[in-house]
Amino acid sequence: MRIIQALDALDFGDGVSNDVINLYTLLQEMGYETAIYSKWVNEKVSRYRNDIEKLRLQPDDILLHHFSGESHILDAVLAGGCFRVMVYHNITPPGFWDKNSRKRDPGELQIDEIKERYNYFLGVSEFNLQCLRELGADGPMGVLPNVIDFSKIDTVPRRELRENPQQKLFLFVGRVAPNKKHEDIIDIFECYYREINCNSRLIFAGNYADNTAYYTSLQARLSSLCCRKAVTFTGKVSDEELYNYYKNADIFLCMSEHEGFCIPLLESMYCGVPTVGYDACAVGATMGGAGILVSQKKPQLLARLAHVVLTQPNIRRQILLKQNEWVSEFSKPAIQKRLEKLITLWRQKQHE
Amino acid sequence: MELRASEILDKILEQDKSFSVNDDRGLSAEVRQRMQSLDWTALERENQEKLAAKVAPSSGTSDEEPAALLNFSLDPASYQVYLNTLQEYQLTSNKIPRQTRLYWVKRVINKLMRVSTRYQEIFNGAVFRLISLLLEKLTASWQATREMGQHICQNIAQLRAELENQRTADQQKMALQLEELQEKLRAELQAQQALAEELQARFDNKLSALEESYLQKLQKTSELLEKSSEIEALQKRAAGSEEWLKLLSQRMEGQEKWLQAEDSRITGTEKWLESTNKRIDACNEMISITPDMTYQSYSQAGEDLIVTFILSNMKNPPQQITYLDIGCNHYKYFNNTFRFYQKGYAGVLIEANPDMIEDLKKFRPRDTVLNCGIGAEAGKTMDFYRISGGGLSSFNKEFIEATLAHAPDAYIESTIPVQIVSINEVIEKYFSDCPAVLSIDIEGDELPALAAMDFERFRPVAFIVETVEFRQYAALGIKRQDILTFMKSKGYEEYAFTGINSIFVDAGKMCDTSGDAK
Repeated sequence: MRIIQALDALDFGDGVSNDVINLYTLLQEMGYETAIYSKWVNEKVSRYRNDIEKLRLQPDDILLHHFSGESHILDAVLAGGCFRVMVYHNITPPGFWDKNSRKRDPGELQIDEIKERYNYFLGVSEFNLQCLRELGADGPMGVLPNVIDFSKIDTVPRRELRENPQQKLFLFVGRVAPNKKHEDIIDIFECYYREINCNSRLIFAGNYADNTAYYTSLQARLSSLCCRKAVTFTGKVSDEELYNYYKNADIFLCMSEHEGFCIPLLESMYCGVPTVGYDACAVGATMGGAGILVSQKKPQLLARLAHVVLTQPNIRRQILLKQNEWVSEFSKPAIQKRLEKLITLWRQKQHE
Repeated sequence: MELRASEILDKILEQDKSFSVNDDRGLSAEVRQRMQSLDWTALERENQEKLAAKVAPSSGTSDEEPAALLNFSLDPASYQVYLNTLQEYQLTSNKIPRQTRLYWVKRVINKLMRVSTRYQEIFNGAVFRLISLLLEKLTASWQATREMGQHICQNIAQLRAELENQRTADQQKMALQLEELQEKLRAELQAQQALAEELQARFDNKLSALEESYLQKLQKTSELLEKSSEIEALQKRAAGSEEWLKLLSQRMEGQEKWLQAEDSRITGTEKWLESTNKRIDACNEMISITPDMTYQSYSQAGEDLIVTFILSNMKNPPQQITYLDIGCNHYKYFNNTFRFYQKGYAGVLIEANPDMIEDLKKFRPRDTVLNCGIGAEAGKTMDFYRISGGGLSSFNKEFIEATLAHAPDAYIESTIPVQIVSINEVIEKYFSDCPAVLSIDIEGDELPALAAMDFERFRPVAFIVETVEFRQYAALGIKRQDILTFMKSKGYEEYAFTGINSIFVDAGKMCDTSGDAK
């Protein structure tokens, strides 16, 4: 029996690709024969990948098809008989921000056509499974959170990023896109910077090259703000740089309004950063009662909240304790146990 | 402005819902309390000072320069301080050398230029923001107007549709009521007709039943009269039958006696058959023990006779000869195991070429015939090259190419996919222990197949292995030393070499001759 993962593009630093590579490593450690097949690949991770054209499925195989948008590998994935699992990473619909729009993502239309061809649906969160049900999928379903290799974070040494020891560093990690609501974070930080503490910085770590219109609008908004010089957009960064940002951060803010899972929340918790998240889509479930869950976006209130968390060691300590406890649920042994159960279930269904 | 109690409560509840720390009410309340207890105004004032200092930092003046002259911020109050200082400075400026004054004036002008540029930037930012806001408002207003228009259109269409639906529904309802009335009248009429018909039918039935019962009674009376005469005749016949039964019982007794005599004869015959079978078994045993004196060989060069000799002259000959023939090809000709089959033994035959399977199953029914290949990569499917003539067919592409170079008439007929299994799997599945004889001739793939065999578990007495490369004519110098070395490493000695095949024997099972010299 082989466990094969297939996806359109194996990229470097992308959430789905990281999940695929971490799952591949975990399966190898568990002693399974496994492989990754994709149509496109970033050179930095090409050592993990096989060309999708060479994929030959056998009846005994289990195929995990990672679906996060319009798929261009359906011919290869649906050819031949094997046990097929769709791993759904969610799609931000093109009309998400315009409630009158009836536009649908091509990926959503594909799911409608191919849902019958899959024996099992896997989501990284219950929210994603709910989205799948709304798209018409009605087969057996299960949840397996993203596999996160926290050990990589430990290997990166901390380099000082503060200009002075008293400076407070706010952080958000994620690509620059409208659903991530960078403007809300800017508003909170502006309040904090102008009214509470101007010895502070805000760092947005994430790629902005793919959405220049939104990035330009953010810059225009910043140009009239007091905090404009204290806000940095890093663009796409290496893992080492990213983990260093986490290790320097004093607080992590996430005001995103559409997330299928949101790995950065757990990474920041793992790095001991108090984490504030806006309760939308899967964010609340990913935070699992740890950190600070916000249900209303009031810049002044949240700026004051951040100040209290940053200046009260007792409160900060309690938050970090709960965060550490929650992150351990996503440790490798915990995920391995859940994965083992799922594989046993799939094998039973395969022989039925 | 005064707030009512309910409004205050609403505000508190709204604040409570705004965030949750660690999903813990106590901790969230503690954070809220901290937020309320802090003096945010003082904090803001302090921060504003720091901010002002940050926006217009000290430019590093010398000790001689008045501090207020060069350290000014952007707010009007600071600017006034600066002007006052400048006026004071003008009054005493005659005491300072002209060059120094010019230097200071130059620096002040530079500073003023920077300040004006900064104000210009702020103005630009404000205008830009104003225009953006205006555009946003205009867009929102246009969007709202459009939505309102759409909404009104939708409402009108909805009203029209509702009126139309209402009218259609009324018409349908009236038509349904009319149909129901007609249906009811029809049903009533039908019920009356059915009642009349039923009454008529009942009357007819009653009349016919009375007639029928009267006729039946008449018929029964006449039948009874006829039956009384029949009973008399039957009584006479019964008296005759009793006598006949007595005679029959006497004859049955005689038959039983004859059957008992026959049973005793059959028992005697069975005993004689048992003793005869025992004598036949004894004869068969004697035949199997008697050395085979017929020297008919079916191998290429008498290999089967050599193996027969080895098995007959071992220290402990095997009770039962079993064999595994890998690459057996024809069931009889050039076959290393057909002689054993002919002597009554059985085994397993493996042949990858499907053309041979039918004959093998037909002419060697006692043997188990498998259509598969033997190799080191068990479980996979490999291409099998069928060569004209059959005997040289192989999985090994290199061997095929080398063979075709020495056999100009041969050619590849076709390529077919064949399942590969290992020797170990076959022995585990089809033999209780392990075969006494293992013959292998798979055209160049012998060594990898043997290397995959578990010699620790399975130790056949003799191996017949093809150890030469193919040539069209008998040749020298083509013997494969690698197979000899391998077999020796596994404890098998080459007993004989026929020019084509080597016969290896398990050194441990042969007679110990170390004491013979003494």
